[in-house]
This record gives sequence, structure tokens and C-alpha cells, in this order.
Amino acid sequence: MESRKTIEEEIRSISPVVADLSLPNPYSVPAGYFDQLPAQLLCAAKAADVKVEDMAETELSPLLASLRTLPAYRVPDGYFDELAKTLVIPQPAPAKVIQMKRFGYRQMLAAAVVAGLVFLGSWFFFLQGKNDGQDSMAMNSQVISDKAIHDQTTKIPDAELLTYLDSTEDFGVPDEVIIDPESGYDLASLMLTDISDEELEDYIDQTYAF
Amino acid sequence: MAEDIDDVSLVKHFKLPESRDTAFTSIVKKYQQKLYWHVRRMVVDHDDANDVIQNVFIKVWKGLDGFREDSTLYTWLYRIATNESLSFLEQKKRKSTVSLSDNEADLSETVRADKDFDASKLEWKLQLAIQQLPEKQRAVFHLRYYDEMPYAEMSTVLDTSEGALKASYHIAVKKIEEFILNH
Repeated sequence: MESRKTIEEEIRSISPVVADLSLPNPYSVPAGYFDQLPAQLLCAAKAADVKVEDMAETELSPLLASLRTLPAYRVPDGYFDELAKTLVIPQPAPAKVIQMKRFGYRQMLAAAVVAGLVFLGSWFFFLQGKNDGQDSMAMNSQVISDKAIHDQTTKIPDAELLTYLDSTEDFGVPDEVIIDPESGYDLASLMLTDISDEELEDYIDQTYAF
Repeated sequence: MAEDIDDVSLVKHFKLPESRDTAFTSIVKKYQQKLYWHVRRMVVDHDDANDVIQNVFIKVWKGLDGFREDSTLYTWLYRIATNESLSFLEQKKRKSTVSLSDNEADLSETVRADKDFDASKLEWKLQLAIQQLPEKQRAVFHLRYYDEMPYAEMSTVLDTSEGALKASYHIAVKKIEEFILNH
């Protein structure tokens, strides 16, 4: 246990000025404060132990309990009899419609841009697909028509085909005749002069043999 | 006299229902002045100190049954009183419209507002000097300077190491010296 002397020496070593302050207590207390304090504290401590909700009203405040039945305010005679008749029941106001969400200008613009992009993308996609489809359809048509022709013509005897070809003027050769300006003969005749008829027929048979 | 009854006996009698009230009253009589002045120096105003002392002894009434006697009754009471004072000052800070840094100035005003205040007297200057200290440092100074409490007991009261308490007391004394010399 430290002695008083030790504590005095300690403060003197820190500050002789403060160590020399031997001063009275400047604060005061009301007269008799400490005489009544123990009893006051005992009451306060016991009161803190009691739960207010467990106390009967007559225990808590007999005065208040006695005043309960004494009315302070008055109403005009017959007031409650007439009250029901005079009550005006207000009509409910129409429900106010409040939009859950309002789309601003920016949101609508963004939505339009996105929709436009989707539309353009879809358009290009289907357009491309359509062209591809048409080509394939065209190819399919060509294949089908060639195949169909081939199928049909294989059933036709060659003699009939030659007869038809001889009788048909339109042979895939243009109608107009190209005239050589020097000789005056048509160029087709000039080109074929060195070729015999047998060679021509052989050529036709080979070329148009189905 | 209540002051002659040792703490161990007081606690023992308090725990008995038939002697509870008497023991409590004896404890109050033995420690009321020490605890009151410790609280009063912290909160300055008498009415505030009275409120805090009420709270302190209500806690003593409720908690003494569970007192394990691993510290002395004296240090246990001081611990409650110090904590209640600091809590009171904290609540006052929160309710106050002044900033936290102005709280020490607010207590200085409370000192000046005392009906016995006399700025020319050194004892009042000392009180103003003490109010400049932070709250915990103020508590350290009070317990050492006025109550002559050993650092070992103070460590239990304030839940702080002895080394920290010695340093805090050293700084507090220096600050008070500076205030007294310069004001």
C-alpha cells in the first residue's frame, strides 16, 4: 500500500507548483445532504426493484385512482342520440391511378434503337436466307427440269427425235443470218462448206443423243 | 459507526434478507462522501452528481448479491461510480448541441456557473484546470490526487494498466501546472 508520503513525493517530482497547492474544496453541498442521503438511496434502490406494471393503480397512486370516475368535460344534452343521424359518410374518392413506372424519353429512345437493330438484323437475315433459297429453288428447278426432260426423252425412240429435229426449224440457232460482206454468203454456210453431210449427221447424233 | 465495520461483514450482512436494509444503509454511510465527491468532481454540478449517485447505489443494491469479492468492496464501488460518471458525461455530450471538442469548455462553464465561483481564488483555478483534461485522465487525476488511490487499485477501477495510469497522471499534472502558470 502506497503511503501518502510516496504520493506527495511523486507529484513533487512531476510539478512542485501543483504539489504546493494545498487548497480547500471549492464546491459546496446543500446543508444536511449527507444526513438524508442513505434513507433516500434505500428508497430509491427498493423502488427500482419493484416492477411498475405489477403494481395496482391504488398502490401506484391512490389519488389518481380516486379521480378516475370524475368527468372533467361535458357534452350538450342529447348529443349522442343525434350523432348517428347527423353523420355524413363521405363518398370514397375515385381511386387514383398511379403509373407503376414511367418511361422517360431516354428509355423510349433506347428501346427504339434496340428494336430497330433487331428489325434490321432480322431483315438482313431473312433477306439473305431468301436469296439463298431462291438460288437453291432455281437450281432445284433446273435439276428437276433437266431430269424430267431426260426421263421423258429416254422413252422416245431416236428415229422420232431425229424426225422432230429435221422438221423443227428452230434449233437453237438464231433466226437472223450473218452475211459475210465480201462473199455475200451467210457465214454459217461458209463455215460448214468443208464439212460433209455425213459428218454433220454424226455430229448431231452424238450431240443430241439422249 | 458504519465506518468501523469491515467490508467483508457488510457484504455478508447484505446477503442476508433480515439484515439487507441495515447493511445497505451502513455501506452508504461509509462510502457516500468519498463516492459523492469523486462523482461531483467529474460532473461538477450538484444536481447531476446527485442523479449519478442515485444510479450508483441502485446498481450496488442490485449487484451486491453477485459480488464475488475478487476485488475489495471499495474498488468495486469506485468502479461503478467512475463508469456511471463517464456514462453520464457521454449522454450529456450526445444531448448537447455543442461539438465534442467543446465539451470540456462546457464543463468549465458549469464550474464558472457555481454560486461560489471566484475566479481570483486558486482553488477555482485548479478546478478550471482539471476540467481541461479529457474525461478518463480527469478520473485518474482525481483518484490519485484527491483519493490517494494506489495505482494497483486504480488499475482495477479503470481497467487500465498501471504503466498507462502513471503516464496519464504525469501528463495530467503537467497540463494543470501549465494552466495555473499561464492563466
